[in-house]
Amino acid sequence: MKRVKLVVLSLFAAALVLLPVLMAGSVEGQSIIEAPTGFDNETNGLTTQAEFDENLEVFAEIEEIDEGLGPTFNSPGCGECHANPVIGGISQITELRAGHFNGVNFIDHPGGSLVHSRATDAEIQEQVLDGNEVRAFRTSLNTLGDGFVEAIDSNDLAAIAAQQPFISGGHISGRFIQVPVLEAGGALRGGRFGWKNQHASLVSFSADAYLNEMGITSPLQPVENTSNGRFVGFGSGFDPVPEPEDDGEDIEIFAAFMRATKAPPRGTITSDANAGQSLFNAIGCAICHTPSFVTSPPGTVINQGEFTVPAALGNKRIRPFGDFLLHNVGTGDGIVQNGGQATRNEVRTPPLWGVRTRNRLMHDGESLTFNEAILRHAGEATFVINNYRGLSTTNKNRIIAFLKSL
Amino acid sequence: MNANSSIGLIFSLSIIALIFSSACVKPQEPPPRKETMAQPPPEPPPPPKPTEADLAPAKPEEARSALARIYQTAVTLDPNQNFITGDFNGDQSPDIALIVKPSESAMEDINSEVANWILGDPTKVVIMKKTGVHPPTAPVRIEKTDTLLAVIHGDGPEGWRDKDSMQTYLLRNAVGSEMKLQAAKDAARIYRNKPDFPRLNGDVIRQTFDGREGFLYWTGAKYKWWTHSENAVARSRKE
Repeated sequence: MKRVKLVVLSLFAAALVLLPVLMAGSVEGQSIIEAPTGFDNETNGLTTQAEFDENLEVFAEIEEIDEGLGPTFNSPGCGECHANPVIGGISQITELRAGHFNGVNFIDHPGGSLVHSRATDAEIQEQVLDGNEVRAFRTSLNTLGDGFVEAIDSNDLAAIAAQQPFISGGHISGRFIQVPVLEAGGALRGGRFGWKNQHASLVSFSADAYLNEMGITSPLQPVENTSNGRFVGFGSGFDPVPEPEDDGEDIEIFAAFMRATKAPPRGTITSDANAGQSLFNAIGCAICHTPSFVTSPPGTVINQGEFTVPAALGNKRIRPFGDFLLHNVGTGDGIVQNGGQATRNEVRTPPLWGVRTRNRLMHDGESLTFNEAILRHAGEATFVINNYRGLSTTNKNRIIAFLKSL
Repeated sequence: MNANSSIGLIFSLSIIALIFSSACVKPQEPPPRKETMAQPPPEPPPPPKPTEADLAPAKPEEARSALARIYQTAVTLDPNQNFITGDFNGDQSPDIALIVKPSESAMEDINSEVANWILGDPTKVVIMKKTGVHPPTAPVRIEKTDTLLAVIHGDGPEGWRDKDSMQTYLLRNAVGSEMKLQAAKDAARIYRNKPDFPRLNGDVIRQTFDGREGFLYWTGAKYKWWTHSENAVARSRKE
C-alpha cells in the first residue's frame, strides 16, 4: 500500500515538473483550424469590428478630384468594383487592357496596357490607339479572404508548380513567378494577386489599384497615370493635386481591410454538390483548382520582412480552389505584366471560392454558363476537359452543382 | 523514516520542483520564422511545332473521323465535303472548320445545356470596346434545317487530327459562299486601316454571307462575323 502511494506521488511530482514544459510546447505548435468564412461584413478577428467597419468605410469611400481622383481612372472607389455580395467581393465590371504584339514581344499600349475608361476631362479620355491590336477585358476580382492568401508560404506555391507536371502526365505546368514587393523596396516574393499574379502583398496590390484604377498616387506609386502616354499629372492643368496624392495611409487601410475579411463561404451543399466535388477531383480539375492550403504559422515574417503573420491569419486552413499559378488554358489575353514575355497567354487560375456570386465567367466575363466556361478551357487543361466531356449528363450537372455551391 | 515522513518529503520536493520549473521555463515566444525565397521549378520544354504532315490538307476520311470523334452521329458532314484548315485561334496548332448538318434525331443533344460543344451565332456577337459590358445574348438554339459550321480546335502539333483535340464550336449563321482560308497577316494587310478592324488571334474564314463580304474570326472566346465597307471590298479585289 505504501509503495503504491509512493508511486502515485512520484508520478504527481513528475507531472508537476513536466506540465509547464508541455504547455509551452503546445502554444508554440498551435493547431491548424479552419479560416472563418462569411459574406457578412464581419472581421475575421485580425482587427476589432469597430476598426473593420472604419476600414471598410475608407475602402468603399468615393474619392473626389480634389482628393486626387484621376485625371484618368476606372472608378472613384474600391467598393465600386469589389462589391458583390458585400464590399470586398467581385463585380461584373471589367477593365480594358491593350497593346501590340510584334511577333516576338508584347508591347504596352502608349501609357501602359491599362486603358482607363473614365477621365475627369473629356479632352484626355483614353482610347485604344491604332496599331494596338491586342485588346482584352478582365473582370474585377474578389478580395475577400485575401489576407489568408497573402499568408500562404511562397514555397508552397512553388512546390505545387513543381509537382503538377508529375501528377498530370506532363500536361499541366503552372508558372510560379516572383514579383516586386513595393513596400520592401522591390524585393521579390511569389506573386499571387491579380489576373497575372502581378502582386505578392496586399499593400503593393492596394498601391497599384489606387493609382491604376483610381488615379491616386502614393509614396509606393508616385507617378501619375497618363492619357495615352500624354502627361496629365499635376502641373498639366488636368490634375490639381500634387504627388503623392495619398500619403500612404489609405493604402495601409485598404490592406488592413482586406487582411481582416473573412474568406468566401460555401453555399448550400447538396448531395449532388458533394458528388460533384468528388468528380471534380477525380477528373483532374483539382490539379489547378487546388482545394485547400494551410497558411504560414503565426509569427512568420513575410513580404520580405514587411509583415508578420498574425494569429488571426496564421495556421488557417483555407479552401480557395485555386493554385495561384499562371497557366495557358487557351484563354490567355495576350497581355504581359510582371511575369515576362512567356506569360503573354497565361492567366492565374482564378480561385473558385465565391464563384456562385458571378454570372459572367472566365477572365473576360464572356462565358455565361458553367458548361461553356469549362469547355473554353484548352491548352494545359485539354486532358481534364476531355475527361469532363466523357461524363454523363447527370455527372456533368453534379460538377456544375458543386461549382454553384462555391 | 516511516511512510508518512516519506510522503511528506516527496510532496515537499514536488512543490519545490514546481517552483523551480516555473521559474526556469519562460513562456516561449514562437521563434521568428522568415519565409525563405522560393525557387521556381525549371521551365518545361517548348511544345513541338507541327510538321508538314500535320499541316497537310485534310482528306475527307480524316475530316469525317474527326467529326465522329466529337459529335458521334449528332451532325453529318456536308455532302460537298467542304472543310477549311488553318490556325483560327492562333495557338500554333492546326484547326479545321467543316460544314455540317444536324441530325434530326439528335436535336435535343445538340441543344443540351451540357453539350460537349459551344453553340454560337457569329452574327450576334457584340463587342463593346469602351465599357466592356456585353449585353446578355439569348441562348443560341440550333434548328434542324440549319446548315452549320463545326470548328474543331487542334491541340498539340498534330492539331485537329490528334484524338485529344475535342474543343469545338458549332455555329449557325456562319456558312456563306466562296468560303476560304485567309491568313491573319493577309487579312490585316488588306483591312487594317478600317477603324473597326478587330484584333485577330489567328487565321480567318473569309466568305460572302448575306450578300456581304467579310470573315469569321476568333475573339478569344467566340467566333464573330466581321464585314467591311464597299471601299475595302474594291481595294481587296484590286489587290
